[in-house]
Amino acid sequence: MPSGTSPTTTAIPTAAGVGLRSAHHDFFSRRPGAVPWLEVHSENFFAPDSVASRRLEQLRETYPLSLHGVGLSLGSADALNVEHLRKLRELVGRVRPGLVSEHLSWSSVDGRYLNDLLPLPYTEEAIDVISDRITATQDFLERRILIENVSSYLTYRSSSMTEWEFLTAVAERSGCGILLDINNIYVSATNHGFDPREYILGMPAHSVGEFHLAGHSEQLYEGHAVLVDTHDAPICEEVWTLFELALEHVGPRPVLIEWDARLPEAETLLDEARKAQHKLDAHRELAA
Amino acid sequence: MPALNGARFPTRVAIAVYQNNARETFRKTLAAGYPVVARLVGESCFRGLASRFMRERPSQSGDLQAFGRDFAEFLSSIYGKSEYRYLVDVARLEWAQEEVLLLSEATPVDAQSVARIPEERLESLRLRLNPASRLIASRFPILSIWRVNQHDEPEPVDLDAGGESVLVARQNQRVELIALDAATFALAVALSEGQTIAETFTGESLDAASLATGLKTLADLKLICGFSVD
Repeated sequence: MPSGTSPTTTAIPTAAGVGLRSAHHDFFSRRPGAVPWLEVHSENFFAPDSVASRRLEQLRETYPLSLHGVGLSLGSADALNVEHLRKLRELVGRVRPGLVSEHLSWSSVDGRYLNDLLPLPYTEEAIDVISDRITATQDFLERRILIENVSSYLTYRSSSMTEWEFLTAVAERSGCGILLDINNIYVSATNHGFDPREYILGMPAHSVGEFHLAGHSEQLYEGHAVLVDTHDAPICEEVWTLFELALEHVGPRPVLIEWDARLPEAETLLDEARKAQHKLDAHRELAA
Repeated sequence: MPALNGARFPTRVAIAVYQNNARETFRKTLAAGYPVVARLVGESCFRGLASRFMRERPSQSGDLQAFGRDFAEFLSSIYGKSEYRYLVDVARLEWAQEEVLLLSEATPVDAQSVARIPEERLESLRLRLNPASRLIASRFPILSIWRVNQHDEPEPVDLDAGGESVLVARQNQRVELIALDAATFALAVALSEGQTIAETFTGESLDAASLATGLKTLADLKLICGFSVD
């Protein structure tokens, strides 16, 4: 093992962290403790000797880390990609993350990948498929993972339940945790015409292990307004309000500010994190 | 198609969103890996190339870093016989930089230790080169093309100026591009197999003095990370 690698797992604190992007690497490297924790995309660090991995291992010496994967395609009917799983397990061994997460989605058919996060039909059959793969992944990694709800732009006629009923059933069946993305709830609710508060209130509080907060944008397609999960803007007021509802219903959990595109200065991310931290603290005081 | 389940827009619009997301993701990934090729062909053409590449060579991994590996080969299928075939080699040079960022580095040996090997032992010498390195040669001045395109207003490069051979190497987590003369390049390629000098140049008569000079050059380039004399 390279020297300096922490041999123990450091839990993610119940505080506001930020998603680490390579443009901000130097900023966080020079200011240890600038945020309580960092989250990264797992796939970017699969090559163990890469410059990216070396830098991540350095940051790991001062920051608790969360690994957030996008490419495992747990909802796919294809068999699990063992190569991908092995690389993920190897990465988990190297950086000992406090949390590991993936998505309630699929992205591959017959070995062809879309590298996007496609929604599943909310059916009993789909519960079986994704729960089996989550269970297999948790067994392989020897740890519980969190599953994140995604933004979606379509739904399926074959769905026999709501998305939140589906997610609850999957968490129950597989024993996984839930990574509740408040922005994704808002985007999907607006696109599909359901009440986002119902989604939040439908979550099993004990399963939720983390929150995500992010920005989105509105795009026009043939004159139709669609909310798209672009992660390139500040968190909007409606999402902050929904976050407060989630804190009330679920309780305090680690919360992550996600900003992936049109990156601002790191200080802007820290401002968003401070705002989230303030709400976490305010909730704790109320609950005390 | 009618809207489903209270959706605010028709299904064909939803599908258009996913299609657009996919095109954008793949285009951005390719542009990040091949920024000079993207500049050379221009935005509109690159968009078209990315769409075509996405269709002809679909992603086969959940790890986007694998996407784009075959881009030079793909460019060759389109431009390989045209006046734009230099693009293929520029793409190879750009991929080599992406590759070495992922590979394992090794510490170079002290150049003096190589210089001290007696000439009569050179035949039995076996080298280990820096694994985080790639050797890219072209009939076109690809390093010059790459260099001028690091600036906002690139100076024109004469495509007939002659070929360039490039060492792409990572040391201390930084990637460097170094022009090599043809002889040094050929020596590096030959010795990168890890065979002894005698095995590498079987049947050739070697000038020990020029070999020693060539080895010194490789050592000064920090390309030699280990050696043994059988």
